[in-house]
Amino acid sequence: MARRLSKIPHGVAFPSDQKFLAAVDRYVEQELKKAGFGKDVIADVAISVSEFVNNAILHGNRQDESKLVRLELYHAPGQVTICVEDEGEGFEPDKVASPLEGENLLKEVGRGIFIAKMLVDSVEFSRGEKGGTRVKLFKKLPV
Amino acid sequence: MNYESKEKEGVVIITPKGKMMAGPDLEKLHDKIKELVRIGARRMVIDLGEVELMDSRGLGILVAGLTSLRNVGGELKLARITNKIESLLVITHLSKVFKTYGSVDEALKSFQTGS
Repeated sequence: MARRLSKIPHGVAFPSDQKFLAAVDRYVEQELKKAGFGKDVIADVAISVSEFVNNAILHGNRQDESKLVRLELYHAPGQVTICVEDEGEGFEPDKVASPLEGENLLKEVGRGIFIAKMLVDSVEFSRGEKGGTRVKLFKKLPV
Repeated sequence: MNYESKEKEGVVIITPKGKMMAGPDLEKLHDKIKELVRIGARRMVIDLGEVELMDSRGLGILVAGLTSLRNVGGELKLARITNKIESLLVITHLSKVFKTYGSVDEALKSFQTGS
């Protein structure tokens, strides 16, 4: 069953349940298509957003459905910025282990932030209004 | 995302379709692979030719399948990887871990020849 996203200024908000991931993906894809972005850029941004939205649901809000994940999307000619914010307790991105080292290579989890960073031009972490993690992704069109 | 599963020449062939991205549908595929290994599958090919996109959870499920099969003396091989997925495998260094083939038939043949 399709899950409904709530509209917020510049984006959408939704409860912390993975059942909303497909709807979020459709929303991002539609918005970027409307803004005229090409297939490859949309794919890179969609994967990055999926990584951070999933982290917000699982690790930020710990799947507490009373807590929301907010996604804001801003685009200008040739570039897009997306912010994903949870209502968790925040985390220290510098303490995330490299997925390429030693036994991490064959772990089932732990690649999300690494992959997301590789697919966009910049990723910034900060504290959100409610103390959770706010991630800002920036992607520009290839010249 | 959905998937098809069949067996040929003693090898389970799984063909995911659509986006292998985090969510309940992808977890069904994870459960399917775990169940197949539990009931005795030892040779598996994941045909990725119809996968549009893959995120870290999709990769994680492939890694989990590979390690669970190798732990019981089996093997998981990948067929028809797209350029996007190949890039993901390279940047995550998983290209050194997985054996990949241009077609399902080549992957099946490799089980017979041990290549």
